Amino acid sequence: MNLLQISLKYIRQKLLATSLNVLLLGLGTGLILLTLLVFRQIEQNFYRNTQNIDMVVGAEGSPLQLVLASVYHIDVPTGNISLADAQKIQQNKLFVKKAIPISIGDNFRGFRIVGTTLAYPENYQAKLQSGVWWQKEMEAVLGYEVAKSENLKVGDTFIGGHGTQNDNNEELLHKDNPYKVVGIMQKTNTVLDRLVLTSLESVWYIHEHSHEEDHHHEEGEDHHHHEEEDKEITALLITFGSPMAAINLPRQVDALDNMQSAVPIAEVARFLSILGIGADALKALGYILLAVALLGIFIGIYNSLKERRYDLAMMRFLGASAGKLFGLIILEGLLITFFGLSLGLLIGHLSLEILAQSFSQNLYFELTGWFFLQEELWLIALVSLLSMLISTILASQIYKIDLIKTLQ
Amino acid sequence: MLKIENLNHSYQEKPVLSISHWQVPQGEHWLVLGKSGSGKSTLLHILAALLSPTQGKVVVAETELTQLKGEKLDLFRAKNIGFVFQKSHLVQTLSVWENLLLVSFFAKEKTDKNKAKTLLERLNILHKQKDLPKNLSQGELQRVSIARALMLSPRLILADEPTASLDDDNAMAVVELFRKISAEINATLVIATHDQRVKNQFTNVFQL
Repeated sequence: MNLLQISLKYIRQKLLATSLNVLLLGLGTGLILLTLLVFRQIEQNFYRNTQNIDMVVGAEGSPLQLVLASVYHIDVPTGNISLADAQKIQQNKLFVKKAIPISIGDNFRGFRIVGTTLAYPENYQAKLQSGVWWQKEMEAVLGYEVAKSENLKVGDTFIGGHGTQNDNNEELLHKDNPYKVVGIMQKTNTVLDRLVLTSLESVWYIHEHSHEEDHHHEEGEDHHHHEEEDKEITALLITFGSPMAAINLPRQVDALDNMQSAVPIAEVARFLSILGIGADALKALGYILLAVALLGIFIGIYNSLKERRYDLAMMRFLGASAGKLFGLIILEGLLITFFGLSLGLLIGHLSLEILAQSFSQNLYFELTGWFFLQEELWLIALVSLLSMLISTILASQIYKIDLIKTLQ
Repeated sequence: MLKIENLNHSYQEKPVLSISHWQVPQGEHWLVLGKSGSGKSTLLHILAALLSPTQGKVVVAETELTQLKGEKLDLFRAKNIGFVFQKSHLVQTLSVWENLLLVSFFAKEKTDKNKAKTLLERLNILHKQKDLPKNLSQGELQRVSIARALMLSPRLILADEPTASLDDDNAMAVVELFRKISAEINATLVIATHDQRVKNQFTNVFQL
């Protein structure tokens, strides 16, 4: 016999009451943890994808929408800007260290096809797991998730569809212009994993092509010139060349027609603060559950002390020091807390993993339950401390038990 | 050996017990008789070091009880004194067997499983060793609490009204058991009772 055994026996005898407390504690910590994990992962994902992108230039509209569409590939683009205008900004070598043009508009079964330059994968330090980078029109390089989920290999071909979302609309497919897979990227844990990359020319080619079918107009040099003028991109992802760019570039952009600039970090911070309100509400609910659980533990221990006055008095009579019994009561509180916290950690991580698994197709980035935070330790410490406090307050009642009166 | 000298005890200023001299050699069996309120339980509590007398000297197992305090006193009691209360006071969440092992644990003694088994066998409740106290009859509970009091082979066995809740046959059997086991381990036995049925079995009677 030892104190742990005595405590465990007691808990087992009072299974219903103790398991209810364990459950409440588990649900409370689980919910707080789940919220924390989801929010942190969203946050990390957002900040990870802003790598070196200090500013985005795109068509006028909501700046948040522009950032979501061109950096995270979540929202639909605000529109297109002319390539000529974009080049004007790009030429500003003093302020622009790097400018990556991207052109969005098509998808392959829901994965976005992004026309860009090799500077784009380079920005995310993407490496190929097989094949080569694109060289000619209609050559494509697939993100890790795309290749995996559509089961494509180098050499395969696929057909893109018009629009950024998969509409399952046969008419929107660019059937005459299949893409050829020339390379597949390694996993980068960035947006690239869920993208199909190709050259800007491929995107232009497809859309000019469908243009020609509609109009059959003009010819010769004039035609070519006109096209060059007409060429459009969705956005320009800019890395600043100097801190002054933050002030000067937006001014230059605003001077051009139908263009705006947006700072991803600022937009994301704004977006997350909106999400944060929801997260706070969930967390508050978790804390309420936790408070109920702790109250339950309080009542549980209080009742157990009342019920067990005889037991405890007898143990003292048998030679147990008050300190030992004090330890016994605290151990019981700790055991319940331990089981509750373990359950909570399991609930938090497992439910997130289940959520992530079942929604993986609809998520714009990868969520996982096997993600651990330093905050978890704080949560564990906080709950343990509170339950320890409760146990200690109650256990001090042991010193008040009158042996003779109780045992007579 | 048990020795009391000039003992006076008051409760809330009123004297409840007064014994000028009482000496019991090791191994003797005594009956403390008296009406309720005569101080029987108080005497037992003082002998068990649960209660410190207002005045006087009490020696149990060559140790003057007033010399001990706190944890040392608790341990002395646990090792040297076996006490059978009127109610069994077994730990409700532990089985009969575990209740016996508990004694060794709290007294910081080695667990003697053979001893526990022998005692339960002697008291004829070995078959109940895995049961919780709530599943035992009054008589069985009493026997378990006797077994518990004997676990560490104490020098002094104290019993407070052990026969109060038992019928004639059982009362005789229990007293007989107390005497037999006490004799085996050469323990001093003091039974406090107002039960006249057991009076004839004892030659040493201390009347309060």
